[in-house]
Amino acid sequence: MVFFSVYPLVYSLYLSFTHSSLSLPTTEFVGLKNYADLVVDPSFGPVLAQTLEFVGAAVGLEFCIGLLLALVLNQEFRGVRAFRFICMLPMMMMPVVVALMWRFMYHGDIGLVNFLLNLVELPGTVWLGNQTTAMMAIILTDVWQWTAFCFLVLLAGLQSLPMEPFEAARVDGASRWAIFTRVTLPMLKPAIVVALLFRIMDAFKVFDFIFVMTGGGPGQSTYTMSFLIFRWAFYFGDTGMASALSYVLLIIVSVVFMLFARLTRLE
Amino acid sequence: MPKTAPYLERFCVYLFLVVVSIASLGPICWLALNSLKGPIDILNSPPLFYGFKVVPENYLRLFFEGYPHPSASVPIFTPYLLNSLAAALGGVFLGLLIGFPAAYALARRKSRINKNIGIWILSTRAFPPIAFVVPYFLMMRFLGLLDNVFALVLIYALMNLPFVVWMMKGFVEELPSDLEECAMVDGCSRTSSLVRVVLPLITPGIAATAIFCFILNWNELLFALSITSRAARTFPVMTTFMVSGWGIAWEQMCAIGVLGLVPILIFAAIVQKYIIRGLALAGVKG
Repeated sequence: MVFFSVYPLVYSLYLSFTHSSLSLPTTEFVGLKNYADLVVDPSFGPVLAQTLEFVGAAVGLEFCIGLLLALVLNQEFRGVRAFRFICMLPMMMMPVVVALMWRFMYHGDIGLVNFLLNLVELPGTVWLGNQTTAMMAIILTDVWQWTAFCFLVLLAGLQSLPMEPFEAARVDGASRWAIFTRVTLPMLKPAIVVALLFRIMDAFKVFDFIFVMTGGGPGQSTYTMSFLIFRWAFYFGDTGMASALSYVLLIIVSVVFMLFARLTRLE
Repeated sequence: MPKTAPYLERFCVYLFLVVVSIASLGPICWLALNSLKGPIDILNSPPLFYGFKVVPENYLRLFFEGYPHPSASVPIFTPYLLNSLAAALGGVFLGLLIGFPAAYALARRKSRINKNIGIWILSTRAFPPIAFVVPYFLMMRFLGLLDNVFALVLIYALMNLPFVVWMMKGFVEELPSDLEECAMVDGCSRTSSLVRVVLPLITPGIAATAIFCFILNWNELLFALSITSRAARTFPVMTTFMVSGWGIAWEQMCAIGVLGLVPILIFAAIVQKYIIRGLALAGVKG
């Protein structure tokens, strides 16, 4: 098993120092040239910015909605189990199908989104064919599917909390807002860390939605790092550059990780 | 909170829940509705909610015809479904088999090295999977496992490992170690106390972890697409047949989406009561 996880990493590291290609039989050692090329590539900056925008917006929204849902559905009332189940559903769909489904709904002429907007007299647009709305449309798709994950993890976290601190706070006359910020949130920290950690990692890797819905377009307005890696590897056949880019992405994710760990004082 | 608020508050809560439910159910219902339309009705503008001719062909074709071309005489639906089940369940099983002892060791033996190993296992999930495709392809070719379900089982087990280890670590940490010590005083070895005391207690946790991993494996496309060709293809690969140079066969795609959800719903219904309780037991200890 170690072999299976270490070998690809080492192999990619080696490839990232070579000029290699899917169509060339030989690999040539070029040192850090791939990394140097990456940094001067004019599309690198914007793509990195778009990736960060995607991760920030998507994970932010998922977390907020998920937390609100978890708080509401942590109470016991009629129909709570049904609501919990419904909120879990999107996570169970195949991401490819979700992407195709939303692409269909965003369609300019026959899409459900424009139809509903027209019903309330709002102008629709070709959501995925428009530089300003394409990224937003993809972010919303990601939010639709993965809010469920944040919700589940946070709900589980809430359910495992002991009752006593809440009762104590209530007896002491704390307001509900104070209970939420001073008792619930600090005690929920482990679950919050897990939800955010896994979501941030996965959001950095987003590929299916972009590949299926826009193919990176229009222009390069929905390129993310992961999609750029795919382009280098399978459109241009340059596995060396693709590997170098993978390592750059790994480093970026690690930096985000460390910042995150510092902020939340993980362990 | 003033005493007059409860009704208004309850109203807002329900409104919020209804909006979220419509938002999450709506697209799925739309998918199911469209899977019953013919290829012309589905492209109607404005979209049809009723009054179209209901056709079962989208499902029947999946079951009884070959793809990518109808003249391919062998139906592929059942074999692909079986491949998918084998790969997904195998991956979950192997992932748990390797992940659980690792998690147990990480939870019970606290040391600097173990902490680093834990973080390293987690970080393998941060590496973009697309970068693994070429090395995996070469490895599987070397091992002679190309187009073999076992290759998928191995890869999925590895893919599940970070999640399994981190979830299980939480479960084990939650169990007081006195329980095992008692068992060992009473004459159990470490292994048998693990099997007889720890395992039964964390069954709900195992079920919850298993369903998460199952969903992940069942829906996995990238590796299934790249290292299988004919014999070992899985269910999600069928979606790619619906996207061709002529456009997308939307109604077929919808039918696949609906069918793909069925096994997960069955699996989820079986372990449903464990999902939230299991996660809660983990205390999701990060």
